Amino acid sequence: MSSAFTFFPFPHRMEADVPMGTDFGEAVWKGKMKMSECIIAMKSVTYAEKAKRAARSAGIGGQIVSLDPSVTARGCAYGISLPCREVRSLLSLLDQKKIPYGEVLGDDYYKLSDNNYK
Amino acid sequence: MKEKLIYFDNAATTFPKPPSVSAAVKGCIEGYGGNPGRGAHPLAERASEVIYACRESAADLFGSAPERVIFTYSATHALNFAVKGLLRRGDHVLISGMSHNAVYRPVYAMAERGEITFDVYPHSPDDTAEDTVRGIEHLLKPETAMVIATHMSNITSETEPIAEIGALCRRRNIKLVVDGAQSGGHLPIDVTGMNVTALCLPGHKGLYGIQGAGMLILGEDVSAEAFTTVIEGGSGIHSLDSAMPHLLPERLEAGTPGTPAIAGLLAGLDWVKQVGIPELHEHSAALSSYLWNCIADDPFYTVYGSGYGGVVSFNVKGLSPAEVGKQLADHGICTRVGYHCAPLAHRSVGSYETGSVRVSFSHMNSIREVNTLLHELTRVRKR
Repeated sequence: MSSAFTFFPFPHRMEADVPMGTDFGEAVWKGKMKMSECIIAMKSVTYAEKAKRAARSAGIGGQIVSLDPSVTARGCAYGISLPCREVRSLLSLLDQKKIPYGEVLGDDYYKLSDNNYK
Repeated sequence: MKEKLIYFDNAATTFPKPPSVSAAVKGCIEGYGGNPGRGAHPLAERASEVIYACRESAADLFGSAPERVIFTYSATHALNFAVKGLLRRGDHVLISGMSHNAVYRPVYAMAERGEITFDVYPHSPDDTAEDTVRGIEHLLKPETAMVIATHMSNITSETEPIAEIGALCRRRNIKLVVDGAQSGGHLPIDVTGMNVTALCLPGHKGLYGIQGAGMLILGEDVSAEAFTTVIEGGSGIHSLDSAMPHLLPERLEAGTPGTPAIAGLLAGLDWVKQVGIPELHEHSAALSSYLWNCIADDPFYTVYGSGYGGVVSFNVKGLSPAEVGKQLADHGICTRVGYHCAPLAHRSVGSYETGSVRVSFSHMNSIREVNTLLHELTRVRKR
């Protein structure tokens, strides 16, 4: 059974409502922030599950996470957490499979997990 | 009453269920019964995974997409969503002469309130597909917005030609809602290929799940915004919005889903796919045809429909259905008597004055059990 994480406020929000096909990645790759885990906000928990399955079948890692209310405009949302280096691949896959997504959220967060590390 | 019961009421609910279904329900309750989509802890996530897996399995079996599989509590629930969610004031609706009250009553209620008008299209066992389509076409009006077809009758198992009706509806830009309560798991249904707007299914009949889960499976031609919400409440997402989400399925799934029942439905779907719909249908049809052939020519019986499809309805000369049903039950044979929540259907087949005794089969029944029924019916006649 996979663990899920609750994230605390993100200091870096990248873009709002990324349209399908947008090449978002330049800000991330220019090293303006730490590179570890990124989150792709999904439109619903159903689409988050759909995205997770699509990612796994393509060999891309990712876990469903609950987004902190401070980073959501409408409260209570879910996203896919994955290594930032895989975000571009997953977005391409989501576009291909017509799975809608929202913001791409960056790093520098505090994470509580079984390992209890920041 | 005999200790070993013979269960012939599978049109009401199938019994027994495959062991995998029981195990799935038990596993959910004991292992991961969190509230799906309402948290990110392991139990909620596991529940969400099972919910999605069931959507995916149902979408695969019925020709739709996972996000277009809406979980309800029953087929009746799903039909109410379809009728009340898609119809607008001034619309005209056509329903089948073989309709169950789950179709008839919500349509009647809206008509009584002056919101819509409706007509009943005829359907009899001898009708060809062309006859049925012609009968529908004859009743169409400019304001006809929906046809609600009964894929398989719950009193005779007669079927309606969904693909042909779907083609007509597509040509006329009319929504097609299908009551698949009896056909789900017995007959192939392709929501996309048959131009179905909404397919309404129970989880606890031909899909061998438990009571408490049903599905409203949507076709490509209906958007989330096209649905007026019938029930509003918590959706697990976008909690700051005052309105229900604009996305499927969450828009139509307010409140906590019946996760244990959906876990059971997933196991039922897996079992149905493993056995195969053709085999499931042929097994039940063989039993009903056997029974029908044994009593159809006997003057002591009045038999309704053709008996092919898993359901046989009949009456015994000189006895009310209730008397027959009680005597059979006293000898361990479970049937259902009366109107079966389908007065329109009874009127269509000619049993409106009395109702009937209904025998309905599943994959768990056998020829031996049918022979026991025939033996008991002989004793019932002699009493």
